[in-house]
Amino acid sequence: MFRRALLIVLFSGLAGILVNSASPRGIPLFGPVPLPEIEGVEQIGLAEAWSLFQTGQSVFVDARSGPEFAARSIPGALSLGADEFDEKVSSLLDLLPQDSILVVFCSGKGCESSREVAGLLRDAGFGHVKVFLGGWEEWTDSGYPTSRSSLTDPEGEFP
Amino acid sequence: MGLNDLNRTTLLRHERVLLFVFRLLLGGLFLAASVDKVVHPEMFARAVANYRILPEPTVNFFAVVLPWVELVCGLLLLSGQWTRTASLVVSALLAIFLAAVAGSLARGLDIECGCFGTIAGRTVGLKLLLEDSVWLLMSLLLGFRAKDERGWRSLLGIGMPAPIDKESKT
Repeated sequence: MFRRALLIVLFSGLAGILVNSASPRGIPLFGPVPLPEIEGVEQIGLAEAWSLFQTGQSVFVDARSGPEFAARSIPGALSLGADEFDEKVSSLLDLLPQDSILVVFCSGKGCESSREVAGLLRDAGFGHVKVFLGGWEEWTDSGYPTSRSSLTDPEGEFP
Repeated sequence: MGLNDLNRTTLLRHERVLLFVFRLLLGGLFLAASVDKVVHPEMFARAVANYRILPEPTVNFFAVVLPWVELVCGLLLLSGQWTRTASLVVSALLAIFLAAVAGSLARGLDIECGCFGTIAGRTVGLKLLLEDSVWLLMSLLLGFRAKDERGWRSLLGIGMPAPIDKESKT
């Protein structure tokens, strides 16, 4: 009976693997878990985030909490958490042209805030919003520059 | 035939009907649960990853294989083929799932069950634990009492021998 059970599992497994490789919606068998697409927002990796940082063409948006941002962040980043979005959105729209390239990040692959804030920014009319998936973790692991922001006042308002 | 034999026959008949119902319910459950996951493996992979039990490199493989085991077992149960074996595989799946849910609750994870794929947003909670236990009980009962059979007649059968009054016993 265990032999039959094994047969069932092996047969099913094989069927699954075959269908998966033939299907357009198939996923890499031993690859990373696929992340859901966000409409109008591009998800980028470390290399692209770094190159955008270097060319100074983009504005980095830190979606982590205020205290985390205040302690240390990516140089030049603006602090914008999901819960303070409504308060800050109008000053953001005054500050930045809608075709600015925004790179949103949070602590890493595990957190949802970067994707949430990115969606909100897209809804607010920003046309080039990107999410840097690796986030703070990946940035610091790679030894890229960080700084304490001297730009925000105690209330966290934009200058 | 004494009174005892009559009672036993009736009981067995009731048991057959009950197990037949269980067989169909379980088969239907697993077939229904598997379809969306087979069609949307990426979404099931995310659900599995949320449980944070399996190491990430193995999640996708699991997400591809499991729904097919569910599908095949569901079909076997619905068609009455290899009822015993299918029930026991299903019991194993349910037991593993029960452990996963219990583990998530213990760790305070607030996650989607992922049981039926994208359909019906169900979160991990005590209610789910209870439901799963009931299904597990059903499948275990079925697994222990049914037999493996094959063929057309099994569609309406349960893989159990006929009640005592049809057999001649001395």
